[in-house]
Amino acid sequence: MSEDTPLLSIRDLAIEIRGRRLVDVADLTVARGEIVGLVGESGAGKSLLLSSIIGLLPADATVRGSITFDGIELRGAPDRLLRKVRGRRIAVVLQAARAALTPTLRAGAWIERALVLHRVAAAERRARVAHALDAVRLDPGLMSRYPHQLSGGEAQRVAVALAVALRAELVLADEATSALDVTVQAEVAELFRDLRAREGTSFLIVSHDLALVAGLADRIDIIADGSIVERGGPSVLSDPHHQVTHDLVAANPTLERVREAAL
Amino acid sequence: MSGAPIGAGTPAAGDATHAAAPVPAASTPDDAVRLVARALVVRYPDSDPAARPALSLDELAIAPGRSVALVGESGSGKTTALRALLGVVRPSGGGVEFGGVALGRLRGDALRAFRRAVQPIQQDTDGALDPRQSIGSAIAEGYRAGGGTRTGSSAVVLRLLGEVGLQASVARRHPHEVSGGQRQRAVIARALAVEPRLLLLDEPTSGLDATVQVRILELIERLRVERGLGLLLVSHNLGVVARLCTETVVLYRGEVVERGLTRGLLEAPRHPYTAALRRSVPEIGVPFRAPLMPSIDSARIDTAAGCRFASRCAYAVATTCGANQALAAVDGDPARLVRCGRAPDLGVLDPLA
Amino acid sequence: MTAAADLGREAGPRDGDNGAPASAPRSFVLYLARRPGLLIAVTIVAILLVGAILAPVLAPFPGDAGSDTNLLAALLPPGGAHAFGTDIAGRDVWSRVLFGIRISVGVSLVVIAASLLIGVPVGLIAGTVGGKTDDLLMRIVDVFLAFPSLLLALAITATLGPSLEHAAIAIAASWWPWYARQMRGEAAAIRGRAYVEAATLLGIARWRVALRHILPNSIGPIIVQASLDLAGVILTFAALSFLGLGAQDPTPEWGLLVEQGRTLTFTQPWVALFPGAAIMIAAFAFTLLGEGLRERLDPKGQTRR
Repeated sequence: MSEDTPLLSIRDLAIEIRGRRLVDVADLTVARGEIVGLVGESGAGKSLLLSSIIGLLPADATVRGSITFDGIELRGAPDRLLRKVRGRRIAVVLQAARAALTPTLRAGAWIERALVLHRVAAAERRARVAHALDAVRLDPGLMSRYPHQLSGGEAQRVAVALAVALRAELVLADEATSALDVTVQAEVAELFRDLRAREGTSFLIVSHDLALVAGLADRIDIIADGSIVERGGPSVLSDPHHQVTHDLVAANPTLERVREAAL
Repeated sequence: MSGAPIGAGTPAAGDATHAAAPVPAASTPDDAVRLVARALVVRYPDSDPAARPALSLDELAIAPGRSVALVGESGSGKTTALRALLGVVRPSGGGVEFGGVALGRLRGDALRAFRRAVQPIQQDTDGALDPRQSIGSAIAEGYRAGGGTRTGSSAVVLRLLGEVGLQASVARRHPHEVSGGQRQRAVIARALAVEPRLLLLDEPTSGLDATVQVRILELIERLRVERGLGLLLVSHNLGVVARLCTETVVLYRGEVVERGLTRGLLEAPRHPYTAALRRSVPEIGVPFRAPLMPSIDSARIDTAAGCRFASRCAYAVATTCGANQALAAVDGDPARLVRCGRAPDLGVLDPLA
Repeated sequence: MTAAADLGREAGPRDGDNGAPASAPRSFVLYLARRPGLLIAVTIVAILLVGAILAPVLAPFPGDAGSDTNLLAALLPPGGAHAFGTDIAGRDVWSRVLFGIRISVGVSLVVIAASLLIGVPVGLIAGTVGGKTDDLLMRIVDVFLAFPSLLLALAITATLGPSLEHAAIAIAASWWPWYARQMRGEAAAIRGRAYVEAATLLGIARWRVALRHILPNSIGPIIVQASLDLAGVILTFAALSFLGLGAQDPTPEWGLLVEQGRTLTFTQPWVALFPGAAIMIAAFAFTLLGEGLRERLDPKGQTRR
């Protein structure tokens, strides 16, 4: 299903801050329409890696290597180019979705403004917004609400709706569901799968929740101390080879194991 | 009547072992620290009196040796229930008793005894510790609040730090200098410093890494057994609850919809909401299951009468579900209660379908 | 997982926490070096402090700060023995300005301290206890706040009679309600924090919670405000003295010195110029100090100015 050239291709990425090598990834790719999960403990470097893709690293960070998006080199690219890609072709969904929205704008106005900023023609905007709301199953009535009037899950969905309206090809999700109730988490996960199926959107999902990622991703990369230690389909978690993967799985709670423990 | 007696049925993970737990010498008998909510009703101030209350709880008892979970999504009233049990939220109806005395009546020494015996562990690790106070100082303050002397406090602080799995050097650090998991352990240590008998935990692991969450839960379980504590655990995640609590009470929009032994609820839920909650918990090795129902925030319709869950329920039927539902026993087990008129018809629901 | 493994894993703050913890710079000097405004302020304040303490030693004519006069040396221009010249009574202006630090700055400090000592407890009690106590205390505060501070100060000194002490009382009386109001706001905000509730739920008495948790966490902006206000008080003192309602001759209060040189502005400008400059420099320094403190004590900008 995916084309030959991957949508996102990271090669020999090394990120250092104040002399410490925090990320050292030889190779990471996301194909079109692929959902890739990046899992690891806090401090493993997942968020840094994500930030480096859109060029939002702290000022004292040095980056080496290559980050290619649809053939365009992003690493070290001028701001002008990054701005065209950031937000429009690569969307970011964060843990605190409400914080990503402008507190003084109603949700609908916020999406509208973003579309204007990315030069979407007026005639097209309405159609895109309608389509996006439908795709994320968001009640249009919520568009008149301010961020503080939205629940965590609703705000999350507004952020994703914008990604859809902008026709983002890649969504970077950084702990996008960690702050949500399980039922809402399940819904957002379902939403991601749906978007992939309908729009062909690719996802790079960073999470510490192995089980969530296991159910969602086509491929899972396990990162520890800045490097990818193991990678594979969801079965890599059921049958881990690397010690880190094994420990991560062992440390994750599952209901099945609770039942076993009780016997 | 009260929930399931301890020990009835097969022990689930986390069941208390009564005899083995070491108990401090000068402790009060279990009855004196029993915390019971009866006919508890809480309405938010300024809310419409005709509307349904934010919380309506027939009965909930917490005592040393018992571990009860309150499960539900945001807005279910579970946090309100916990805060009412702490005496922080005033009930609009019914009440909470501690050792047989209504909370509102506690004064002076009795009130202090209550505060020491019942300790909360809140979810906000960032705000639960005074940013200007070192962790050791916070724990010592707890110790002195419990009647400890200044001279003894450093030894006690070290002991407590060890008990919760923190290094001694953490005592000198401030909250922002340690990780979320360490902060939560510090909060637990401070609560333990007053030698409580009951712990009320509100989402104690939210915001923490999955691996850290497990370790915190293991710590709580170990403490429960070693100190013979009673637990109330409030969470939206059945997975978290399953490890620690023998009994579970499922809340939906302020009402109990199902309660009973945790194991039974997880394996054989009788209420569609319980089944849906169970289904939402992701598990490794289990294929992805699309959620059965829209999550609570995208379906905010509040029906005036009838089952409050009906608008999201896959099994709702206008005739039965249009009437207010009562909490009733199922399977002839007085401790297994379900609020669903269709329960007898539906039987056991398979969440994994 | 053993406890040891736990400790190994949970070694430090998470990546992605907002940067490193607010670590203190390696040394105070380096800290100041990066903040020229604060550096200037601290330098001037240090100079003022030295001047105040060592005035008897540094002043060539210490007697001139008192009632010594030397009419033969009246109105000498700056130069020679008199660096700032002399005033109409032959007194050395430099010596008077130097001793004036103790008055203008010193008494202002006392006034601010007194205002804090009254205002902060009132605000703390109101903010912590809330309810009717809060209402009552804030009504009293409002009454005081209804009067513009300078007018209130004028009214009090006019009633009690002009003197340095009465001016000090007058200014303190008009200043303390601001701190009460500000403290009450801060305390009320902190009162709702989780750690305050946790302390209460540990069974700690309310007054102890207020002193150990609410006060330290809310005093920051107050201190910034106090520092900024010091400049204001110095100016208010000067104004009152200028109007004849504050310090009286021979007290070398800067405002009074300016007044004494007022009629000589175009003929012997040095008499008013140097004390005037002193007022400005001191006010400027304390304002900068307050702004500099704001970064550390009031990052969220809750101070008024």
